[in-house]
Amino acid sequence: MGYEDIAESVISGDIDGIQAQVDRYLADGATANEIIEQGLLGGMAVVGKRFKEGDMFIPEVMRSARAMNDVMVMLEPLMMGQAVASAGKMVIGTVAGDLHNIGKDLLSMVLRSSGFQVIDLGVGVTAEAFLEAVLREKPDVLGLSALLTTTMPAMQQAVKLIRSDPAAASVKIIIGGAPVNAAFADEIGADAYAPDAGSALETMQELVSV
Amino acid sequence: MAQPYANPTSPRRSMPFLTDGEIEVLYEKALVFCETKGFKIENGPMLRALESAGAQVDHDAEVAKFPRSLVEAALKTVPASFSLCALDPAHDLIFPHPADSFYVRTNTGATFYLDPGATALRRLTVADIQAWGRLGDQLEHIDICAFGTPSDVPQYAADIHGLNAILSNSSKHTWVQPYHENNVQHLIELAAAAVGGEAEFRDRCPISFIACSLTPYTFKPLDAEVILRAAEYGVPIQACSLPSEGGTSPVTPIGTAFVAGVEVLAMTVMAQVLKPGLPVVGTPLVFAMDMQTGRVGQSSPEALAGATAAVQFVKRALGLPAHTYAAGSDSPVFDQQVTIEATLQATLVAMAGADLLGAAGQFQTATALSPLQLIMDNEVMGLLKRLVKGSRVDDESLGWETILSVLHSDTFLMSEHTYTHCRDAWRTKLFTRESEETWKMRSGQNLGQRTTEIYEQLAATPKADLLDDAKLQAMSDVVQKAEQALA
Repeated sequence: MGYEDIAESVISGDIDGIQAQVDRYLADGATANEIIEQGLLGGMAVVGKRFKEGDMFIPEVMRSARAMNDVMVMLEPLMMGQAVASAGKMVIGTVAGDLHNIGKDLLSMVLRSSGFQVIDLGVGVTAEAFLEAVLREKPDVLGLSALLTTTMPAMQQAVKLIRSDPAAASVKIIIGGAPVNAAFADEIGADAYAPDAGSALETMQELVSV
Repeated sequence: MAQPYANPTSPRRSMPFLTDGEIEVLYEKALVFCETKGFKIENGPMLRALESAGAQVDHDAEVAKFPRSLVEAALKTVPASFSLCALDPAHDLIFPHPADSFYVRTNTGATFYLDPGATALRRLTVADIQAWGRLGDQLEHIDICAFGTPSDVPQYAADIHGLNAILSNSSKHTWVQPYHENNVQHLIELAAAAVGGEAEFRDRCPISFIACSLTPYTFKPLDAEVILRAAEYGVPIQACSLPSEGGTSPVTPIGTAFVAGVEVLAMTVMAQVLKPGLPVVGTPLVFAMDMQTGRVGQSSPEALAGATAAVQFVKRALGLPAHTYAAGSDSPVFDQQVTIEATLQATLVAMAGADLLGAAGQFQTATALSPLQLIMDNEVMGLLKRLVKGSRVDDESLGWETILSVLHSDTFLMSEHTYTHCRDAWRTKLFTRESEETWKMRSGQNLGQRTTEIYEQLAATPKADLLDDAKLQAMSDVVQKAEQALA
C-alpha cells in the first residue's frame, strides 16, 4: 500500500474525502501509524515544502492541516500507545498585555502540521507563566509573540526572567510580531527573530537541529 | 442613512470608489449587523449605559446589540461641525475643512527611528519625540503632531512621557493612544496642565483620544474606558478600527471596509449614548494580510482599496469625518519604495475624500520614523492640497474674456487674466523643475540631499517657548505623580 492518495488528500485539503480513504486502509489492515507516517506526514512534508517555496498560501496550508488533524483525531484511539516521532517541541504564547492571537495561532498550525509538538499558552501570558511552562514542558524552543508596540517590554521581561533561571536559561527563544525585528531580538537576548510563519518554521528546524 | 459628511460627492473632492447604491447596501447591512450580531464590550459601566439607552445586553457574554433606532439616534447627535483645538489657536482644525480640503497627521506609535544619513534603525527616545514635535511644528502642511513610543522611560508610563514631550515642543493638536486604562486619567491631567487647568481643558482641549477596537467586533476594558473618560471631559474621539484583510476581517477589501465601518459605528454609538454631541472622527486603518507569508501591510492594492472604501463608507453612510493612513510604506528599508507607496496612498485617500490624512513620516508599516520622510510627505501633502481644490467652472476660471480676446496664434502671457492669476500656482519648496544646467549651477543636489539640507536648517531652529514655566512645572508634577501611581 502506497498511501499516495491519502498524501494527495492532505495536499489538496480534501477534508471530506480523506476520512473515507482512511476507513478503507484500516479495513484492509493498515495500522494507524502506517497511515500517519506514510500518508499524512508524507503529504504534510509536501505542503511544508510548497509553503516555504511560496507555491501554497496560508489558507490552503490551513485546509491541509485541518484534513490531517481530523484524521489524527480519528486514528488516536487506534494507536495503542505508539507515539509518532516528533520533530521538536515548542511552547508558544502572546506576551502579557497583548490579546492578539493570529500570528501565534498561524505558527502553531504550521508547526503542528510539520510534525512539531506545540504547547499553546494563549494570549496575555506573563513572564512567570512562560517560565513555569518552560520548566514543566522542557521545550526545544520558546516562541514569544506581540503585536503592540506597548507590549514589547513584556517580551523583554519574559526573556530576562527565563535567562535568569539556570533550569530554563538554555531554551532557544524565537520572537515575532509586527513591532519587533532582528535587532530587538539581539537586544533582549532572544536567539532568533522570525518575520512570518514560513521563516519561523525554517528557523525552528534550524534551532532544533543544533 | 446619516446625512453624508461635508459634501462628499463633490467632484472636486472625491472620486466615487463606491456608488450611492453600494453605500446604501453597506449601511443597511451595518444596521442588521448591529442589531443581530452585536459587539463584545468588556466593560460593565459601558454595557449598563448602553442598556439604559436601549441596547440589548447579555451581561454574562458581555455582548451588546444595538437596535436600528439606537444607531440612528446616535448618528443624529454626532456634531456636523467641531474643532480640534491646538495649544496655539492659529493651528485649530475646523471640521469640515473650510476650504473643502484635508488635514495631515504625523505617524503615531512607532518604536524605531532612523537618523538622517544613518542606515540602521535605533529605538525611539523622548528626545526624538521632542525633536519630532519641533520639526512637525515648522512644516506648514502638518496639522497634527502625533508621537511614537519612547524606549528610554518606564514603559508603564511611555504614553505619558510621550505626550509630555510632544506638548512641550509642538503647538499643534495631538492625538493620544492610552496604553492602559489606569493611564487615561493621568493623560487628561497632563493635557489639562498644558493649557492651564481643567476648565481650560474642557474649553479648548488640545488632544483627541484614540479609541480602538480589538477586531473583530470586540472592545477591551481600555477601549471602553477611553470613551467613558472622553465623554466625561469632552475629549474628541478618534474611533479607530484596524482590520487586516484575511486575518481579522474578510479577505476582500469591501468586507474589510465593512468591518472597519461597523466598529467605527459601534464606538460612535457608545460615545453619543454617553455624551450626545461629542465629536467623533471615523478612523478606519486598513491592512491586508499577505496570504502567502502572513505578513500584514498597508500598501498593497488590496489594502488601499479597503482604505478608500472604508473612508467613503464612514463619510457617506455614517456622516462622520474620515481619517485613515495616507502616508507610509511597507518597505523594510528607507528607499524609493517608501516615497512611491506613501505618495500613492496619500493621493488615493485624498481623492477618496478623507478629511484627515494620517501617518506622515513613517515606513516599515508604521513602526519606524524618518524625519526626512516627514519633510518629503509634507511636500506631497502640499501638492495634494492644491490638487483637491480642483477647478470650478465659471468665466473667471475659464478666462472667458481672454479666450475670446486673444488673437489667433497670439500668446496669453500679456493678458490681464494671466497677470491676475500668475501667482496662483502651488510652488514647490523641495522638488526641482530646473533644467539640468541650471540645477547643476545652483546646487546639483538630488532629492535626498535637498531634504537633508532642509532638515538641518529646521533642526537648527531654536526651540520656541510654547509653554510658560508654571505650565511646564505643572506638567512635570503630573508626570512624576503618574509614575509613582503606575509603578
